[in-house]
Amino acid sequence: MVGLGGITYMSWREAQASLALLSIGGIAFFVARSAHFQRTLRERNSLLESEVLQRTEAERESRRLNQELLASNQELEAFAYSVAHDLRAPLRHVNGFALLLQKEMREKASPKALHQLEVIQSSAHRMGHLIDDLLTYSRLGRADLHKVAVPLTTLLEQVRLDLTEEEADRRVEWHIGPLPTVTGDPTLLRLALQNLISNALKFTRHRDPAILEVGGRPEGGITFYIKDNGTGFDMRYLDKLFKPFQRLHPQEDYEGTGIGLANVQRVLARHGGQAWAEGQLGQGATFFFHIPSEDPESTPPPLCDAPIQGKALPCQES
Amino acid sequence: MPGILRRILLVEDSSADAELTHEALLEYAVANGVDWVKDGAEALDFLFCRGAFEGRIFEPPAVILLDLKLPKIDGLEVLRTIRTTPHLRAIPVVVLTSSQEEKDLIHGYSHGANAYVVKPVDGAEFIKAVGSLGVFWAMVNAPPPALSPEAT
Repeated sequence: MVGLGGITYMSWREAQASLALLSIGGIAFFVARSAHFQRTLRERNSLLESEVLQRTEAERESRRLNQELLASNQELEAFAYSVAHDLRAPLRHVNGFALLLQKEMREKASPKALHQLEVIQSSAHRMGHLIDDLLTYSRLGRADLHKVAVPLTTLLEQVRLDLTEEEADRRVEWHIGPLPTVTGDPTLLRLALQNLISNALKFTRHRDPAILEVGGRPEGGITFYIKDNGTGFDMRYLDKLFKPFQRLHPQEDYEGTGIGLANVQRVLARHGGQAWAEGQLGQGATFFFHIPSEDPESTPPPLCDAPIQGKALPCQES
Repeated sequence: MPGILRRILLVEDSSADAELTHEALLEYAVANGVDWVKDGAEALDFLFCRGAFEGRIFEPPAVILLDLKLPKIDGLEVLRTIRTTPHLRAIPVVVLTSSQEEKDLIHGYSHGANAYVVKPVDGAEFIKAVGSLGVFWAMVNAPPPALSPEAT
């Protein structure tokens, strides 16, 4: 390698060789890379294909499970209904014949025996109420919905009129805010309002005056609330509140079978909404419900008939 | 129609319910007398004077108290037969059942029941319901004139 020219020449040759090598290497490299890419692509594709297959399979399985769940739920409802229905006849006989026996023995039996007959009758009477409540609860889950525009203010006034007539001798202060019109089944919604208002009146029985505040807010539908200054409840037992036949007070203090709020929850679930509550023992309680708007654009909320744990929120927020 | 009281036909498979019904009618001084049959087939035999009731002289009951869930032939079928038989079709029929199912109510009325009474689960309420419906249908209500099977 002498002289510039030589260098140049060698360099040229070297460059040529290098270029050739480089080209070969490059091609080899690209070929290798391309093969690698193709392999990866194939692998990815087949992975994707199997994922799609798996997903389709999973979707099919989930649809099947959903259908099974629906069927077994319906079966369970039908079973509960027929059990409750069939229990009525023997119960009527217990109650009816205890009554006849009591009449028969009025002059002859001891006061103790008459008392025992009394207990049989009142227990059968109570069981009758439980069964009828169970039937109503079951019916609420199965009844067809007939949805129309329901002005809540009018519905509330009707319910209030019915319920306060029996409580004419009490002082009840009402604060009622404006309420919207909702789309729903008027019979079911009336039942929900009836339960919430009669509860509020029941648990403010020892307040003078009872103060009841009712209002609503538009929140992707409507959120309704009724607040009272009554007995309230311990938030620790919130999860029991909306379950059927769960009660937080002894029968002697506040009568009832414990189905009311479970019915409210069921009515709301049938409307794609939910009911929940806040309260403090001795400080009153507030009961809420939410009915989502019927906008076809919005995604339908999940059905939340499940028991609520802790501070429950409307379904669509969870 | 003064004179002889027409009898009540009770179609009821439960003997306890039948006894309670008797007591209720007694309590409400319904003195019409009760014929009791235990299933739908027997009810039709009674009304058509056939089978075990062969030779019975036909007299239309003041009212038929009809249970729906019955052995052999069910209550709706009995009701349908009564309503499609000329000499029976005018007889008042009161459905007396445990069923509160909407479809039973609809079928009961569409098959021509004059009333539909759900048996109360409470004994005292049962006696009141059955007693007062006995008073109304057997004593207050004027029954349709009797038609003999041959006349129609």
